[in-house]
Amino acid sequence: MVKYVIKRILLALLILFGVSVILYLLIRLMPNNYFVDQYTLTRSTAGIPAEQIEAELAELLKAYGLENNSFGGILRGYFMWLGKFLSGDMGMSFKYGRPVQDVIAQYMWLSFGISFVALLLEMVIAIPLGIKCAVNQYGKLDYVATVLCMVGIAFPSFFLGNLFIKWFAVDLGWFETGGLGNGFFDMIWHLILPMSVMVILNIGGLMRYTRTNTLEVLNADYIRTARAKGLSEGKVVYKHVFRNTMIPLVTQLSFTLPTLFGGAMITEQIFALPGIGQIAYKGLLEGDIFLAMGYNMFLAVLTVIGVLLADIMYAVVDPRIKLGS
Amino acid sequence: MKDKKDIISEETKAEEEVVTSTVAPESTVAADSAQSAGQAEAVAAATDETKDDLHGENLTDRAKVLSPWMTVLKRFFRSKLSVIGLVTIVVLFLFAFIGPLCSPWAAAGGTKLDYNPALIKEIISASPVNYTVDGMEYEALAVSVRIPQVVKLGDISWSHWMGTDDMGYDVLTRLMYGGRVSLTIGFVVVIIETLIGVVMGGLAGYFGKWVDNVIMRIVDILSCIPTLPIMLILSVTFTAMDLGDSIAKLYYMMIVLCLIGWTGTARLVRGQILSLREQEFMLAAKASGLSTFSKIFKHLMPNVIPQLIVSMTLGLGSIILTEATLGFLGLGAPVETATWGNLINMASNTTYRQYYPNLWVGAGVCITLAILAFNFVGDGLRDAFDPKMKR
Amino acid sequence: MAANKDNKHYISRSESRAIARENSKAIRFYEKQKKRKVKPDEYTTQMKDDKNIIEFEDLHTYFFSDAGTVKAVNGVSFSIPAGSTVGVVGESGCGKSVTSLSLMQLVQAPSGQIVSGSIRFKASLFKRDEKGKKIPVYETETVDGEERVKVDEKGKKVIKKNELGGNVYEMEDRVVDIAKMPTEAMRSIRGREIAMIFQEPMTSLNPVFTIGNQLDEVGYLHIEGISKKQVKAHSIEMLKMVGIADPEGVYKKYPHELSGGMRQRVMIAIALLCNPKLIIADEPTTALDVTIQAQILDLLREIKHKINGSIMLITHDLGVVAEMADYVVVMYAGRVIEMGTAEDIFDHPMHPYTIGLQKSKPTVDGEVDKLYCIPGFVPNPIDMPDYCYFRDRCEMCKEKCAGAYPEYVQVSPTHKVACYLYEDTKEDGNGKD
Repeated sequence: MVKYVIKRILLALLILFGVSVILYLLIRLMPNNYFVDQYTLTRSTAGIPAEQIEAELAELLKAYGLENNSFGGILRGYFMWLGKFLSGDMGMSFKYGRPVQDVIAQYMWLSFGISFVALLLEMVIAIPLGIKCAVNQYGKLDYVATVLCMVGIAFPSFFLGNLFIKWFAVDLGWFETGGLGNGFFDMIWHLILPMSVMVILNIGGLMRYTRTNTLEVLNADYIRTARAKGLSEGKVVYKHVFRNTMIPLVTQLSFTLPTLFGGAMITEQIFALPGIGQIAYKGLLEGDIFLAMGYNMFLAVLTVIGVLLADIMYAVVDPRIKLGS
Repeated sequence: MKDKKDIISEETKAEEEVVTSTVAPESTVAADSAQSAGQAEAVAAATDETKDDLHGENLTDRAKVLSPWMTVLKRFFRSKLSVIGLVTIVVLFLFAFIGPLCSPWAAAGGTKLDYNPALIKEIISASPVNYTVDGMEYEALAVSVRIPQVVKLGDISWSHWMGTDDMGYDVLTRLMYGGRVSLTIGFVVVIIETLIGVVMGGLAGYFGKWVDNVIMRIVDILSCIPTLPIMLILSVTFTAMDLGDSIAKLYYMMIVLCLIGWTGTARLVRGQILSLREQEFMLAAKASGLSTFSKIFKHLMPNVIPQLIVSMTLGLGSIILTEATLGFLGLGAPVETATWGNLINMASNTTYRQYYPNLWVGAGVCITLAILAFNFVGDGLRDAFDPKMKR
Repeated sequence: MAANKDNKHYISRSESRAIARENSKAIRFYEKQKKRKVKPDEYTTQMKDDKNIIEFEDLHTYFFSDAGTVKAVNGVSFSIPAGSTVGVVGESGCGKSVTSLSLMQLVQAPSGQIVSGSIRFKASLFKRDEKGKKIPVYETETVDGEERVKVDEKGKKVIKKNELGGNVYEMEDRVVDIAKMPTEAMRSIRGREIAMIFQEPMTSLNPVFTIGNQLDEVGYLHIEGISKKQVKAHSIEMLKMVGIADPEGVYKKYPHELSGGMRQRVMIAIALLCNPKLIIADEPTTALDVTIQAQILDLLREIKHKINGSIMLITHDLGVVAEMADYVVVMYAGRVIEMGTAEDIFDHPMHPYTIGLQKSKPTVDGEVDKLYCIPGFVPNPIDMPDYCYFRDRCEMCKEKCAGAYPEYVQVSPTHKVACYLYEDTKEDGNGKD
């Protein structure tokens, strides 16, 4: 077990190494002067004198091996970045004027909060609904819910978000178009629209997944055994079916880790929420290469952890699975 | 699902409303000898214990020789949602590819601007003027014209069913052209990434050992790379690189999408091959001395193709979504090019979002419909190929 | 289906739509039947013969499938005398499993439904007051020579406990018709009065719960008022009874940690937990290897004596039936074609199908070149012929066989067969015994 986890972690590190190489190469594809121009532009709008910017730039370019765009230069630059990254320094975000790790740590929590509440809502609605649909397969509810879910899955976030803003925030004036507002309750008020967008978009997938898994379990022999024991239908479904349905569900939920912490880029952008997604989006657009690198690595690490977590969770929920065997 | 070659017995599975076929992969269930009653039973029992009471009888009497593809089609058309999806796709295609031919605002390579006829006055006055420069005498015609007035942000009218956009283009016609680009991108990317996936997955699954290891690690790495941020960075990079021809950026973006999108297919193909290699009929193929090549193509590929078709159909929806997302962020195809994504980008402008929904709602509806339709068809196909293959 | 008459395989769209419409109508009707709330009087009936514990009469169980109505059980009548083992034999797909599932009301709903007929069962049910509550039996004590209900410190009446530690309630014997019972009422019979052992021990236990959990569940459900400790003790007792060497250890294990034979033993332990009157064993040994098969059969025979109940043994293995059964019922294509005592069937098989079955059984001593094989196939269950179902495969077919489906012929007091061959030997009497 421990051996298996260690093996998996080593493999994860290898994968992360590969990811970082590819990311770095892609980012360095950016023409060099673009970075310099953007840096100068952003810093000077921030009111920093030209000489200081130049000094900063020279130091940055040197410290991160950015001045040389030949293959060797990029390679050297990569290892300089890697060394700093491993020591916990993800570089300086020039757009926000602070170290990347601080930027991520600061804005991550809002994204996490929103995504987490949205995920809870999704689970609370989708899992019982999916089970109910499976139990009454081909019933009216099943049909309606399945079609609605498919529609939900098909909606692009930016389309639904804009529609909601137009209808509910402007035309009807019920909610706010964006931002966070002041105070806790005002914030909740502001968050209702983005959250409902997230829930509507993701609920379909979760519900369908629950439904298919439940159907599979419902056809199993042990469910017939449970009925033959004389258990009530409720007990059959919520004890015997549910525990087995949870196995793939828990695994599936582990994969949501990156979205949980990484923010919903588009939704945050539309609703002007200062989450990590929107912050990163703005940084990426302006060629903030350290933020880009840091944010993408952050997501990659989360993905890898998610996969690892899924494996471990599998073994936790399913007594048949022994890690490493 | 295993291939159904010779005999497809059809019988309905009690509550599933789908047709289960009892199938021996690639082999003949000879239904004409008495022994096969037992054989058929065994197969039936293996596939479905709970229904064994119905299998034995059905297999023999209702056995029919019908090509597998026909069976799939028959099942496919039985589901209402799949048919709705298919019709929607056909309508969208007609709209995008035939539509412009019927539009008065379509022009070669794009949409015509709408000039308000009341405001177009060609030459108002023209008078000859003589002047000298450096001792040379020139004669010129002084012309004064009124600049043609483009109908920008026109209302919905008989001539413009969805109004005109901020440049004076007919929105409906732009939507049709946008469909061409979006659908084409979808199809091209999906086909290319499936090809890459099949080759890579096939190599990994067939050769195993270090080939498998290397390819699967690449797959792991690529699937860890977050798509949207990477596309954003690349879009910025391509813009910064100033590629000259604006449409070139679109091609590069498609290439990148292909390069990161093949991992799912590769996993699927590899998994299939690995599981099929374990099955008896592969041993039988080996025993009958078939060559490696025919082994792969005659036995493995038919087993993988149904799943590939399903994943391609579902993939189409997601590629269209990715393109639209980039377009919405203003990072996809160049702004002049009409794509559904670029059209919905109008919604980023708060004024347009609020007062000119005709500019962007159409594109949003088209994208949603396309994704929905591809999902319906993909789901329908999956159920048709194999009622038991659920995910 | 008309479509099949000329051996056409397709069902046209309109036909398929018509079938679907009919099916959903039928299914809705029968599902409603099962969910309705009725007074127990409505499904209370009388046994034809008081010696029987179960009487099937003209049972029809259909599957409403997309290709048409599958008559899986098509007019089955037989009975199970108390304290006996009845073997139901027939090849796969003859409806023997569906018959047993009908008895438990476990036919795969919604498409599978009991359509008509009756299944009479001599049940002992809880007596209920007007509100539908069970009536407990209270502990009594004699104070000052006067017998009165015992009360605890809080002044509550003390309910009498049985030897397992469960509450004792007033019971009543009542003959119920399971085919007409709503599911709600059926649940107190399942697992308590009739228990079932399934074919696949590998998949019949829920993989995510421990053996103990799955045993205790039945205890908690059917023995009200039992304490946690008592349930566990009882479960372990049962595990011991089915011959599991380390019951405490197995109690804590998960199903995947046990072998097939062990799992089948656990299934039997679950079935035994509430001392059922009838155990249905649906091919209990098919999935096991031969040595384990013998052990499980021995165990079944042993526990039958212990609980003094009856066994309905469903199998396609004639050897198993010969070894276990007192009475044998031979089924073919959803109908009973021959029934009688084990000697009747094995020593004097009458129906050509039974004879064929016997012949196709491999024997050790008999020197045969080729194993006998009944020619032809079972008819399509959707489109049953209206003559004898076995006619097309029958080697002893006579002219008369073209007529209607043959009536039962009583060839001896215990032996009945549905075949025209024996029409002349008809004896008087209708009953089976």
